[in-house]
Amino acid sequence: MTKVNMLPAVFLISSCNSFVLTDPAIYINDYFFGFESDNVSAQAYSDSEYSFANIKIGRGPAANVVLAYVNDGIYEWRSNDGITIYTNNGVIVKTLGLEKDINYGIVKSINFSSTEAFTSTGSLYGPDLIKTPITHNFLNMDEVKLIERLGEEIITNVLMHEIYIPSIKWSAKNYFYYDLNNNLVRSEQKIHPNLPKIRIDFFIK
Amino acid sequence: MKSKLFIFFTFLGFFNSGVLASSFDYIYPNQKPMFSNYGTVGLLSNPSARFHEEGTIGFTWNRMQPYFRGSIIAYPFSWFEASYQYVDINNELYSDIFEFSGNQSLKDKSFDGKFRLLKETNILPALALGFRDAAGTGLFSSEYLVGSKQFNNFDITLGIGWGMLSNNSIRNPLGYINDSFDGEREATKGTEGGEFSFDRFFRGEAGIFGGIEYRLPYLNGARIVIEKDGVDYSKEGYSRVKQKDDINFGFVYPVTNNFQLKLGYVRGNTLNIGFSYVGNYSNKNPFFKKNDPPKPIPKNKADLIKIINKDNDRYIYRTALKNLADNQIYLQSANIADDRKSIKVAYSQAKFMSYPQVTGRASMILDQILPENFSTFELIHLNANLGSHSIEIDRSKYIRYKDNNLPNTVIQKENIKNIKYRSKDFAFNPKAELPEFLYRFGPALRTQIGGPDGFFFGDIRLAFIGEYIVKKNLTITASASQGIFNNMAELKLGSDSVLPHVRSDIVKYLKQSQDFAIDNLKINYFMQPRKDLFTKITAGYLEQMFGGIGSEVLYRPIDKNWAVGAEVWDVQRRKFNGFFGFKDYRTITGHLNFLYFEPNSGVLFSSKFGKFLAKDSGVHVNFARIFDNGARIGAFATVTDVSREEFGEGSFDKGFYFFIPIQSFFTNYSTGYTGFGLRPITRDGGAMISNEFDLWGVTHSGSYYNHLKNWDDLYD
Repeated sequence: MTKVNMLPAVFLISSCNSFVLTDPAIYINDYFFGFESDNVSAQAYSDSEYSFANIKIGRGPAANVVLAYVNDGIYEWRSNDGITIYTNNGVIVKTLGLEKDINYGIVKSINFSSTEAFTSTGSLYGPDLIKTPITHNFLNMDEVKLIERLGEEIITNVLMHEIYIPSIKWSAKNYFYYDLNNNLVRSEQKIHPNLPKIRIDFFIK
Repeated sequence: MKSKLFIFFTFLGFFNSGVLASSFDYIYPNQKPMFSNYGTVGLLSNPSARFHEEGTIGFTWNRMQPYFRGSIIAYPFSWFEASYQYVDINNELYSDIFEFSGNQSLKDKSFDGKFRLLKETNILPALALGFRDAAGTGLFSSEYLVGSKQFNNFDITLGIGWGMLSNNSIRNPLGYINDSFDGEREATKGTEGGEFSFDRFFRGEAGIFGGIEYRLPYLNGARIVIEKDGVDYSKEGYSRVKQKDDINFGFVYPVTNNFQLKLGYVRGNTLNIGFSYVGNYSNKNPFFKKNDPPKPIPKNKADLIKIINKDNDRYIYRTALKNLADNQIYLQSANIADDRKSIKVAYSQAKFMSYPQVTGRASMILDQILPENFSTFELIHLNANLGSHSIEIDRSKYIRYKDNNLPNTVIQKENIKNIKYRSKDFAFNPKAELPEFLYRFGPALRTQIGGPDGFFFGDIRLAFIGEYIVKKNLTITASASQGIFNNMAELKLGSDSVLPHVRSDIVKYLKQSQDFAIDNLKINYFMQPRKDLFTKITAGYLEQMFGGIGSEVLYRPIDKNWAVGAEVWDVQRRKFNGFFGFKDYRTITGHLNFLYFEPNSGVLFSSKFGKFLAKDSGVHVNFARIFDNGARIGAFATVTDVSREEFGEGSFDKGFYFFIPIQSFFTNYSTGYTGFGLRPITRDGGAMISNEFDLWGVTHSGSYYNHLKNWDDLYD
């Protein structure tokens, strides 16, 4: 939900005389400054038996998805409310169950250091844009960034995936953060024109 | 000029004709229709045949000198647009009497309606019939028949109008059918308004209007609008407005799909700005997916509980009590059948609007704690200790269809039974620690809009809402508030009503209770004498203006979609200061009530026949569209034996409202509504006591049709 949509909602609520003011106040605070579920604690990480990812869509509260399968380098992440996200080396290549889904139609394995620019034939849903060319480009940003993970700050290298869909003249720049051991720890991706940015923190076991 | 425009748009049309249908929505996003300067969907001055989705509620504001117009628009159905407007008319004073209204400009209220006659197809345009200012003072009154057709990124509108929409005049085509349509259109300016002027509709000259919306590619859905203005400004409003040119131009930019900004140049001499916001509040989760799952018992613990519960009824009762409470479902009574194959559980809750959702969560817990020999759960949902129905859940079906989320195979109509709940029929009745005191604080806003003293008066208050539960069916409820900030000082309009001042002294109530006020303080006693029959007695300070005692009885077969009832109140007027005193006026008021819910359209019709607070007699009718998520859009009217002259401005009591479930705005489930209701003018005729916990409302969630509507929530 965008900020603009939120404001009338809050206005409506505050005009009601039988509503507890603290509930919207807490939510608005979390909406702008982050929810408790946005951060994974070291304890939660060690308690988990399986690999999982913490996904935050736009400003909404984050939720955990578990790694269900790995098939030909495609990781299949599943949530308990029916959302499935497929990643290829961290790049979201297909989703099921989101408000707006995608299938980028990428069949080759992605490697940020060696994959050259290529074009796939993919689809966007909601509204449907079927089998349209999508160009992909991968860049090393040559920059480092500090990110907070499991309660401490770590240094990461930043890489970028550029998407361009010529039929609708839409493009996005997505960022991937690798720790010094070359493990992908976070991505920030805009995958659909009508979806807000998706942040994923990866916790592979 | 006009031929150049034609060439320009033709060029743009060819330029864009190659856009694929599948990519269209991405190149031209945010396609929701725009609002006209008259507050309804249209172009700039002209209406169009476009509609928003049903369940949409919108707000618009427009400045087009000499008019500032604010509108509330609602779509109870996909084929009906209703709007209510306040218009500030800058070139006219509210009245000629300075002592009455000072320098305030004139304010006008109006109601518009539009009906879709035809949905757009590949060949045919959308067609709509509309009425502007249909029940107001008639300053902007007009009727129209309009068609809209989309060609690629062009949306073309063409229509014929009557009344103020007869600028480009032609002979009234209805005159070919009947000469009476050709006659003069009677003026209504200066009347008290408030009534539909059916004898004026479609009379007099007609006029042609039209325009084009051109959507700009790759610009977030922005559009250019050009129209041939259909409004005859020589007839509109009180004072003539100059029109230099009848071609209007505009640019609309959707910031989001719901929020639009508008800039226009109209009449060849006037800059026009405006914005609009719309939201569809009829969806179950209009903004957020819910993140409030049930809390099952961990499997290893549940297995252990099942073993312990195998031969011990007491443990079953206690573990059900505890684990249901963890899901905010509060067990009130339970009974295990002698053959230990079924359990009957009665519970109350205040978290979920959807009863099937509670049924599902209660079944989940019972399934986790009960030994395998239990095959049936009989669940009774209590509200105000009234148990109107029971639902029988087949445990094996509940488990079998859970993973595939097929709730409709779990239950049939015969599984829902009308009952009369009596706690003495149950073996286990946990003792609640009563009395219990519940309370909360929240903001409150009292308003007075559109009077001669000023357009808006507001009183921001801190409200206290408390409930003292003496017994399960006996509560004392209270609402009090403390003023924080208000601008009521300038509010001074007194009542000129010739009827007893049962409502029209609203200004005195608002002004004299600015500090602390007890809004209500009352005792409520609910009973269910027999199956399908419910009663209530309420006594105390019932509302802001009246106190007294009253009773309501409702016969509502829970498997039917109708109810009949009666209510009677012996009430006395409260003093203006919001404390405990009473004024002299006392009356007995009462009604026979009939309610009918039409399940296919979701329309609730209710009527009250009887004697009203000002001792007038008549009928009150109320129509509401109720959406699946509980949101409702409705309107009401009351006609009694007082004459139009006795009633005063507005002619009869009427108004509209919309309510939205609070949980629509959050990721958690909750009960309660927020909303807005408006009576264009507060008069004394047709006034009723505010019956806060009416029995239809108390029993509605338990009705068969409400279950059916929400049955998909069983596994949520």
